[in-house]
Amino acid sequence: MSQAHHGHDEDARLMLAFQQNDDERCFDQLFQKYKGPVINFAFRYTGRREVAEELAQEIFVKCYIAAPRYQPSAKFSTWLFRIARNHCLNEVRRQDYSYRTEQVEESAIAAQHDDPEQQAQARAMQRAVEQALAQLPESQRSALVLSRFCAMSYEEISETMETSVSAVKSLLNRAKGTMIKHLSSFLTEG
Amino acid sequence: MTTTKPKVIRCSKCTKHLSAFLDGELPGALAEAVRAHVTGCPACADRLERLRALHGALDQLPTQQPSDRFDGAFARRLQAAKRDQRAAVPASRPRWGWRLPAFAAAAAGLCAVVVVAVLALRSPPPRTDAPDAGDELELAMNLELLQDYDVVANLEALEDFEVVKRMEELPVEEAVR
Repeated sequence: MSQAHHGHDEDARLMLAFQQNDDERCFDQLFQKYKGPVINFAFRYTGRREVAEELAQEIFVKCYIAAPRYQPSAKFSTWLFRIARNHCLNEVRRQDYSYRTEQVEESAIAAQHDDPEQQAQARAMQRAVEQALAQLPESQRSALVLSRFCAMSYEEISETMETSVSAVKSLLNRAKGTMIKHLSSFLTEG
Repeated sequence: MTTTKPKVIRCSKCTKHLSAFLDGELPGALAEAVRAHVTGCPACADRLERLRALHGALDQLPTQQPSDRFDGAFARRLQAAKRDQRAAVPASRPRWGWRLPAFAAAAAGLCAVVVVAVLALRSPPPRTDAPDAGDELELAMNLELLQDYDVVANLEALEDFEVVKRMEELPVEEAVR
């Protein structure tokens, strides 16, 4: 991505203001904006909310400390999620976490369906989706999470994962293909 | 007004691009080709529907909202990291500090060796006549360095220097004697 493109990146402007003027309010704005997406990203590595929050806090501490090394040639969100991915990968390996699907949030499902049978079916599907996502190889899962949950373009994903756009396209193709196979019974029922 | 017909693609190519098509990541002409193919191909249309259903299922997953204690926990963690960083800086100075004299001594020694080597290479060949004032000054300036100079220290070996130096000029009998 060109530097000119990042010239319009408000996040990069905030990060530079923090980097150059030590303006903590700028870092706090970025923290408030991205804490949710980073928690959700980390959650896809652990399946545990509390662990995901701890990882997210560590990721932001790393960003704070690494701020002097931030280059405006990188979009802030791709820089942040690159740190997030590396941290999650290292911690998951180090702590030997095994992904655990948490109890499905009943309230979210109940709000969508009145019929108890439909509620049960939706709960089962959600659990199946969580499991299929968790079983994907790490690079496929990261690409899919960045695409679907962080709304990143293929180019942004390629920068975050330090790979090519065509590799991202391939990772997403394979990830979705595998998930469709695992979820075939749910997806055909409409 | 004429409209360009979309390029015709096969199922294998269409399948490869369906995911990017749904993500809005295909360039215009290719996106048009995929759209045209899907319209006339039930199998690819079915694949596209499954992909749409998968996207829908992924989007239905509940998102995790930060807990009420998240900001406070982060602030405490950041303060601890800052304290660690501050503590790490003075601790690292003495570690380097006590090494500095050693580095300085090593650097000085290296400089001395280089100076000796340069002087040895650039000095004129030994002369039998008395040194002039410039030579004396140079000698005085480098006296300490020359004290360790093997050749100078081993003066006994130089006692016959004149004979050795003139060896080729001497008649054979005299040289043997």
